[in-house]
Order: sequence, then structure tokens, then C-alpha cells
Amino acid sequence: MVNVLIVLVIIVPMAWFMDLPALREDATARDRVLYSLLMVSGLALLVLSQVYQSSFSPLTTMTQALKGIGEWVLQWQARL
Amino acid sequence: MGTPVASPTVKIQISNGQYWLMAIALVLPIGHFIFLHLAMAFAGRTTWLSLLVATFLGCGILYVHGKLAAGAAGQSLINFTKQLLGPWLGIPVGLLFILFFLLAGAITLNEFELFWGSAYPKTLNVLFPILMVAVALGVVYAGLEVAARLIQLLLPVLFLIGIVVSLLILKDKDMAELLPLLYHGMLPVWQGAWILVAMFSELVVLLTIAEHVKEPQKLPRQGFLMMGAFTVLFLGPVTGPLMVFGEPLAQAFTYPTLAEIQYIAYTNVLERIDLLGLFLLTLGSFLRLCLFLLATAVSIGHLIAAPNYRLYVVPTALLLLALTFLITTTREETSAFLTIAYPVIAVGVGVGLPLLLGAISLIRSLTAPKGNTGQPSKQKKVTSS
Repeated sequence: MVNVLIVLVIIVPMAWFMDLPALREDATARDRVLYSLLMVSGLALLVLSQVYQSSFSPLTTMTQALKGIGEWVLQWQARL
Repeated sequence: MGTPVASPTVKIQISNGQYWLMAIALVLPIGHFIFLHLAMAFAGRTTWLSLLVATFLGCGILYVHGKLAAGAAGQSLINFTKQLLGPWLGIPVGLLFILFFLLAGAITLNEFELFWGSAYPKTLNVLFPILMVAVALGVVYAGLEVAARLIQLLLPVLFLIGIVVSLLILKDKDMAELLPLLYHGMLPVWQGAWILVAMFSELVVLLTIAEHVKEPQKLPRQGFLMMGAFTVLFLGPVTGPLMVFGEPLAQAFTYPTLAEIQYIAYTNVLERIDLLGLFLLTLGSFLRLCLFLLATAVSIGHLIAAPNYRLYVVPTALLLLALTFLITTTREETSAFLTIAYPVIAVGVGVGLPLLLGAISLIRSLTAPKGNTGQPSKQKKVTSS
């Protein structure tokens, strides 16, 4: 979880100083909602990345999936 | 931050030259260190032939991108997609582009982390991508013009390093190492070319900022010249490690270009210049990251028709970091992904989708009644700089 803390130490002040004035003054309600949604998604993904780091690899999953599709296409082609 | 930020109401323009410099910054350094090694693993001593095939196909890719930029009538990629396909199909397709930009940015950071992590094993690896994103965030927040000028300023330094390295290694090159030609047939050449085509497909990211180019109608023609330049710029790194170390050794290196730079010893005065190689990779990764971060934030802003994209730079950076940590894996897994899955994704998004958009636009213009070009009308402009 130290990764999450380091990210927060950098991102939170940046968001505070760079985005907060714009969110308060210029942003529409839709902007505020989307901004919050993106930040929450980012944080959730950040926590998830730490929880599943050792048990799940998205790159390998994608590679295996595409390999599987390729093999299926080749088998299908051979049947024709 | 104290960063000078241009007024969001000012329409920013970049020259065609700056646009193409961005293309070089996007592809050249990471191509040297990552993609050429992967292509070399397949094609071996015929990698230069793979490069020629890939640049030939790359001409077509840049032509499609250029035509799309010229035909978009001053609109960004996402706005053009939304207008052409309508919101129900345009928004999901726009999201595909955004996810691809995020993935490419995360892979860049992941490679950077793997590289520096191996150089400094005792340092907390995550610090490398985090610090790089923090700096890139400042550049992207300052706007497109600042990013373009930064690239204009730093790219000549990278060129200079490349020229110095090429000259210093010249005496160690043996042309005979490139023979016999086509010993394993044409298949490895195609496989190597496929990897390089994926690299050129990434240039689709520039379509997100093509609306700011001064003369977009010149982009299709200039694309051919750019591919010629890419051929020249990549020819040295493609043949260099093979001619210096021979095929088996060059294929075994994780970073053949870096190994080549480390090999250079110019008398006793200049014993090691591998620092230049580290500089090349770091700076290249940084410029590439800036472009992907900028493109993603701009695209998110355009997707929801936000008045100013800057509000989404920090959340985008957070998403990018989170994705980087999520995909952090071993070098073998990353290489397998970049060899098998990434080319399919990159070519699908970087060539397939632009071709589809171009075809729909063409059909519309052909079937449209006279006086109507079939091009989508300009929607409410969203400032992206």
C-alpha cells in the first residue's frame, strides 16, 4: 500500500492547487460529477492494482485471450 | 504549480513541423529501445527488410491519418467520430481510442519502470513512473503549445546523441554480419514488420491534436516524407547491433541499442558513453508520456464536450498510474504482450478505426446530395489548449 500513499502524496496536492479553483469557479455540475467519478475510479483502480498485483496479470490475460482467438481462427480455417 | 497557463479561450496553433516532431518523439526513442528489439527477435539479420516493409505500409497509415485530419474540418478525432457515427456509436468508439491511449501510456511507464528498476534494484521501483508522471502532468497542464515547444527543444539533443553514437560505432561495424539474406525465408521479415507496423499505428494519437495544425491539408503528402525520414532514422539502430555483435548476440540483448552504445569506447578519452543511451531512453519516454497524457485528457474533454480539458489532466494521470501498477509484470510477460497482443490492438485502433471512419466519411460524401459534402458539420467548438 506504500505505492498508493506515494501516489496520493503527489496527486492530492496537485489536484488541490490545480483543479480545486477551477472546480469551484468555472466548472459546471456535469464537470464536477465527471471529475469526481474519474478520481474515484482512479483511486479504486489504484487500490485494486495493489490487491491483485500478485494474482492477476491483465497483460498475460489479454495475450492468452488473443492467442486463444488466433488458435480458434486457425482451427476454423482448417475445418473449411 | 506556478506553471504559465495560456488562456483556455485562445485557439492554439502548431506548425506542421512541430506536429511531425511530435511524431518523431512518439516513435523514435521507444522504437529504438523496445520495438526494434522485438522485431529483431523475429527477423534477425533481415530486420532492415522488415523496416522497409513496415515503412512502406506506414506510408499508407500516415496517409489515412493525414486524410482524416484534413477531412475533419478543424475537429479533433473524438469530435469527428461523434459527429460521423452519432453519439450512440461515436462515444463507445471514442472510448476505445481513449483506452488505447491509456494502455500505450501505461506500457511506456511500465517499460520505463522495468528499465530503471533493473538499473537501481534497491530503489522503490514505483518511484520512477510516479515522478515521471508528476513532471509530465505539469507540461500537459501548461498546454499543447508548451508540449510542442518542449519537444522542439529537446528532440535536436536526441538527434545529436544519435549522430554521435552512429559515428563512433562506425569502425566496429561488419557488413558481412547481415548476410546471408533471407536465410530463413520471408516469414520472419513479415513478423518483424508486423511489430513495426504496430509502432507506426500508435501515431493515431496525434489525430487528437491535428485540429491545431496550421495546414492540415498538407499532412497526407508530408506523411510520405516522414516515413522516409523514419526509414533513415531507424536504419542505423536496425543494422547496428547486428553488424557489431552478430545475429545471436544482438537477439539475446534486452536493449540492443543500449548494448551498442555501451560497446563504444573512443580511445582513452571517451571510455563509456552509455549515459547518453540512458538519457535517450528517459527523455524519449518522457516526451511520449506527455503526448499520451495530453491526448487522453483532451479526448476525455472532447468526449463529454467539456469547455476545458485541463480539469481532466490530474484524474487522467491518476488513472494512468493506476493502470501502470495494474499491468506491472515481468519483462517476459511484457515482451509476450507486446509481441502477440499489442500489435493486434494497436493496428485495430490505429489503422482499423481510422480506415472505418474514413470509409464512412467517403461513402457519405459520395451519397450526399449535391451541394452537401457529406462531411459532418462543425459542432460547438471545444477548446483543447
